[in-house]
Amino acid sequence: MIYAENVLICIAVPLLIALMFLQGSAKRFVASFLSGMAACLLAAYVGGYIEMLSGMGTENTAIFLSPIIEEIMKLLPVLFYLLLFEPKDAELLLVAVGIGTGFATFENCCYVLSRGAHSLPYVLIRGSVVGVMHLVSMVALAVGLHLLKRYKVFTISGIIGALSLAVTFHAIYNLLVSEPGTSTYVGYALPLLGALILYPQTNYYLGKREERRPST
Amino acid sequence: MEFLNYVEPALLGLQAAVAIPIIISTASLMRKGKNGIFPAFFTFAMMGLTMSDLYGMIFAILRPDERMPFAADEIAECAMFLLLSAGLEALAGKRKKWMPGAFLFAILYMSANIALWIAWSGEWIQDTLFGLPYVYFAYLLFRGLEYVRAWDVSGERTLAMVTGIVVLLMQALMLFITQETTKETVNLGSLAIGYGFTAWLFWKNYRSLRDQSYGEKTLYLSLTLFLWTILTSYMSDGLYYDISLGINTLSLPIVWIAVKRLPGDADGAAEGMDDQ
Repeated sequence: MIYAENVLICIAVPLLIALMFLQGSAKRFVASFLSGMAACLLAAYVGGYIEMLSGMGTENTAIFLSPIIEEIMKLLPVLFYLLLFEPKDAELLLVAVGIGTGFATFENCCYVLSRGAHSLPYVLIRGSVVGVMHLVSMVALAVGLHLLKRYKVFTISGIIGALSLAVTFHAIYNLLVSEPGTSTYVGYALPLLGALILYPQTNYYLGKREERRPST
Repeated sequence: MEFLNYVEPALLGLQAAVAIPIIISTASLMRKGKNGIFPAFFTFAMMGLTMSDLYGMIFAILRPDERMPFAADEIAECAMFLLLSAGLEALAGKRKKWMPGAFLFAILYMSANIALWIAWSGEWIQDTLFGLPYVYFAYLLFRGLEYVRAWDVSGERTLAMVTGIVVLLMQALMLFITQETTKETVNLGSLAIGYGFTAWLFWKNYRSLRDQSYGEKTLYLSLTLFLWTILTSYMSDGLYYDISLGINTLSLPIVWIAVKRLPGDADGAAEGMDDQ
């Protein structure tokens, strides 16, 4: 058993102090990274509570319910930032990437601390697959929210729609890796594939916005 | 793994394969903004449907003999109906008005459906919570059908309502029948009426498309067909479920054509994009 709160304090304190010396995008990124880590801890609390409440068992909760809880917890800081600061598209993406990587980093830290880091393949999978999955789902969510705003459909149902895409993507990954065999490898490939698909899309949308900006 | 266990994931995959080109096409409509704001909601709704189908397909392949617990696909389906509802609200715009009759029927009819889902699954919190978007969507549909005067011949509306109620009553009756043969007969009768109603809705959609009716009428009719085929699939099991799922997939291109025929509006996405 590890004390996740202590791990969070250990990682967060230097980053919090770093915030005092940073400006602009770097400051936003570190702040969102910290929010991502906090969201991960909160998701663990909520997940534990729901596991107890639903009686679904640890494995089933991790496969079926944790994608819903984790994506909601990741959405909240993005939504808060979006509604409060009305950021530009690139800033929204920056914050989403920060939250996704913060969430993935903290989750990886806790897993490695609790299960050990002796096996290099395991550590590589955790880093390059699970980490990327959180990042991809957040980028997808940010792109979704950006599109909702762009096409003036930024409503509650629109937000739930964008959230559902991130949740289902995460859930498909969890489901694929829950069974041994080929499905696990397909699951491992999914986040990387998602990153490859989203990378040009994100650049396209952001690039297009930048092109439009001077004339408006 | 039985043969039928392969059919369901194949059909879910097929539905996702049908939905993907629709998403690409409606995303293009959304960018052009010529068909108003509805294509934007519809594109996101279809994304939800696709993800839900992919999830269901993977689950059916990996865990064929397990009943799916509460999972992400329910959120995706719920989001799909909320997005479609938001799209219909936006489509109605300033013309929308309160229709107590449509509201009452939507509440009663969908509550009866939800009650049956609970009776079949026992998951009352889940079914009640995720049934609410169905009630809202059904209300908007019933209101829209009235608004666009979708019922051409007098008595068509009553016939449609009675047929829907009869199918539900027969399904409810099955809960109290213990004899297997009688139960199967009632089930077959209910499905036959249900499929008959589906065929009639297909015909109405075909006529509406052929007559080049203005976009909203076809849209409301096609979405009614889409909802009805989903409700029918929930009422069926095994092979009948697969048939209903296949029919539901057939309704998707009809909704897509209807979306393409929607007229633009002054508050459309294109205009909205220009002010950004």
